[in-house]
Parts: sequence; structure tokens; C-alpha cells
Amino acid sequence: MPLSEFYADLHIHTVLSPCAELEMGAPEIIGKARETGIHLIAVTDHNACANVKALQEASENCNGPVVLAGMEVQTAEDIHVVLIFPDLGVAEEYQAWLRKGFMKISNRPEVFGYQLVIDKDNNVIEEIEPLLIQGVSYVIDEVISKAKDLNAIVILAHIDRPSFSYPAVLGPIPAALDVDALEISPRLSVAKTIDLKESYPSRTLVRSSDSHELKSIDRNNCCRVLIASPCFSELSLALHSEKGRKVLL
Amino acid sequence: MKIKDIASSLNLDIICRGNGDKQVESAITGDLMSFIVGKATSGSIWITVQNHLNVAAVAVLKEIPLIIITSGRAVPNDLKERCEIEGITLASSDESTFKLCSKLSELGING
Repeated sequence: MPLSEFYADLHIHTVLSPCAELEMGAPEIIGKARETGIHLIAVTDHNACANVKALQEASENCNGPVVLAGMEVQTAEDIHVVLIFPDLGVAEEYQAWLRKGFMKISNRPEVFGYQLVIDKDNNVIEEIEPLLIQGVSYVIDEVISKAKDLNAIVILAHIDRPSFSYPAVLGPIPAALDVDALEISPRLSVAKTIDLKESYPSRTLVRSSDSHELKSIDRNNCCRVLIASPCFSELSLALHSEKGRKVLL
Repeated sequence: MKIKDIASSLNLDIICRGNGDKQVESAITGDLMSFIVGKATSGSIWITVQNHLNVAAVAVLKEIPLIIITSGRAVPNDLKERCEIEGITLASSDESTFKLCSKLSELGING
């Protein structure tokens, strides 16, 4: 099968994340990704995957981008880790495990924002009560190891940022840490991107938007991947530069 | 002890005034927001080097009336603005968390 370049944004929040804008509904995100020419997205709300289905269905309706099931986990150390699962069922299995590690704290929408589960047409199905932006009781090694048991892709989120990133909390990323890629922010300069590549020569870097608002969903804020088709298994190959697949920043 | 008296005894730089007449009797230290969310008791002082915007949200959630950013760590504008809106006293100090806790203990804030 011939390889082609596809645009992939592997870190997008929806109205389920309290910190995301209320404009981050299913048809809106899909519409914006489609309009800007992004072929593959991962829906990665904080500690939850309940809106993946809505986005997948909204995309099927309009022949939009392929939507992968993901989440952005906040570990006990307050490190953000993006996980992308082979399918929604596996993501839900992970989510159920993650919930066992939640502190019993309710969201306060007036402080943090709403946590809305929606359908493909933005009808609100449920408001999630436990606060989703919390560090769960699992440490990073447990979060990664459980994800790997379920064959998920593991990406350390925004490693260039001073908060909620692995380097900010724990320092340099050990060579033995079993993650598939390191995510950088769109705003990171070329010079700093090159520095990071030199610091971690054996790692794959991906650029993701970490969108909390529609305007940041843009080709310039994500990365290109050379793959046969936009799907989980091809992405997985690209992150490991296997069979000719690769990430082109 | 009143917040304004603590601020003056510790020679804190007041960034957001909040309610200086509020009484506080306990304190907590920690730089992991999740830890504070899990462990802080309502009404405590929070002493930390953490300066992310979400510090304000955690303070609201846990009803923390006074946040002290230590070791001369910069206080970003977004944190300042949020504390202003929420009526939280935000202060900073060049001294370390350890040193400030030691002084707080001398003032009778012991737990």
C-alpha cells in the first residue's frame, strides 16, 4: 500500500474537559478539523473518554477526520500523559480502572467549568460529577504500565511546558521510560525543538495542538505523518518509524 | 491570627490583598496541586513554590484564604488576576518554604 502524508492532531479537548471552551462540541471540532485539512485526531479529555463516541459519530456523518479514542491522564505527580487506545472499548476499560484512583472531589462548574458528555449533535447526555482535572492516585509508572497492558500509545504531553509536564516535575526523561513519543507545543520555537531532538535522539517528537478552543485546531499546530491510511495501527508504526512510516514534524 | 498580621510578621510582599482580617490557624505546604486538593483542610494557609494559574482554582476549592509563593518564584499575571477575582490573599517571599514554616511555627501556627 502506498504511503501518503496525513495531518494528525493527537491532543484535542472537548466540552467534557472543564477547562475547554463550550464551543468545543462534536460537530464544531469535526468541522474545524475538516476545514483545516486534518485527517486524524485523537480526542483526549482529562482523565476521561466519554465524548469519543460523539466525535466519532459526528465525523462519520460528514466524512470527517478519523477519530481515535484517547484521554489525557493526570498522574499522582501532576504529570500529563496522552494515551491513545486501539478502540473505544479499550479506552473505556482504562477509564474504569482510572476512576478507581480518583479522589472523591466533585467538580464546581463555577470554578472549573462544565464537564459535559454530549452526543453527536451536542445534546447534553450527562454532567460528570467527579472533578476530572485532578491528579489520580496512580504514579506515572502505573499509568504507563496499565496503558501498555492494553496496547495503548503513550505520549508524554507538552514536555516543553513548565507545568504538568514530565520534565517540569521529575526532570530529564529516562531512556528506559516506556513511552512512544514526546509531545511538543505548537508555540515551541524551531531552535528549542532542535534542542529537544538532540536531547532525546532516540525519541519521536510529535506536535499537537492541545486545543481547548476551536481556533487552535490548525494544520500549523499539529504534525504530518507518513502512513498508508489514517488509523491507530498505522500511527503506531509511524511513532516507531517502522515499515517506512514516520512522523514529519 | 489575622492574615494581615501574618503578612507583616513574615514581611511578605502582598500581591492580592484579599481579606486581611480573616483568621487563620493552620497551614499546609506542598507543590503538587493534587496533593493539596487531597489533603488541605479548609481555611489553611498554603505555602508553595507552585505558581501555575490552577493554584487559584485549588485555593477556591479548598477554601484557602492565603497563598504564599516562596523562594522568590515569579508570580504570573494570570494567577494574580484570578486571586484578585476570587478574593484570595496572594503573597510572595524570597525566603524558602522551610524558613517561612519555621517562622509561622514561632507565631503559633503549628499545623
